[in-house]
Amino acid sequence: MFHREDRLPSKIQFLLEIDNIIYHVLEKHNKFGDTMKTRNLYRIIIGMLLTLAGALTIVLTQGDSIAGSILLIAGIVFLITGIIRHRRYGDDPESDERSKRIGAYGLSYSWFTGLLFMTVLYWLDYSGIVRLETQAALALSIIVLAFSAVIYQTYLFRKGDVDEDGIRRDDQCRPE
Amino acid sequence: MQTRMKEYRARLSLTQEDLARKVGVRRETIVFLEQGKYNPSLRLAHDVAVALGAKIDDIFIFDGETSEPDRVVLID
Repeated sequence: MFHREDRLPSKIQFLLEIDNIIYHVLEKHNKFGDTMKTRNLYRIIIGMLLTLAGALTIVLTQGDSIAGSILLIAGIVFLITGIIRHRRYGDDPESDERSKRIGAYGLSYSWFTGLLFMTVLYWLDYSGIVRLETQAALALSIIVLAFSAVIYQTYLFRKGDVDEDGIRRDDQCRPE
Repeated sequence: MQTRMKEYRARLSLTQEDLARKVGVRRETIVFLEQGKYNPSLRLAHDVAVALGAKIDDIFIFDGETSEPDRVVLID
């Protein structure tokens, strides 16, 4: 019996086989039994390529280059994100109006927290109470911005909505 | 806010996941909607109502209101 794939070069056949294996393994593990979103498939492929490139760079440079570690970490992040998102959401939407709203509010609260933090840092430095190097000040600001965004968003996700109690009605706006 | 989503969903034998898929949102959003903790957009409220075969007024009830419409008194 003649298959179309018989005419393909062996390297492409090999890659197709790997792709099939990954696809079926992930499909099997998905709780919904859904097919994989193209976005997640790309995440996994990019993750594998970056991981491979990072590992190769580390081996070739014998661990001297920082680029290898960066590529490796980025690859692992892509890989994990793709797999987790596929297993968690399957074909279902990863974001909707609630998650977008909470995401936006979380970032906006985080920005305000960052502004307050940097203002306090500036005045502490100006008055000579605390002396920080530029690198340390920047690192602290990055940490505060990143962590506060995660904390605000987690809090709002657990709460359900960005409002106080779901729906708030302004009594003054009620028609007579 | 109170909702009667659960009641209507049960009538149609829909799970939260089924309804979420029908209206194109995450299941958690349906959970918070049913608990009255999430204020949906008009679009989402409409989609939920359509998916449950009801009107928006029947599904979402605001505090201090009843599901019955206000009685209108006509004066000559």
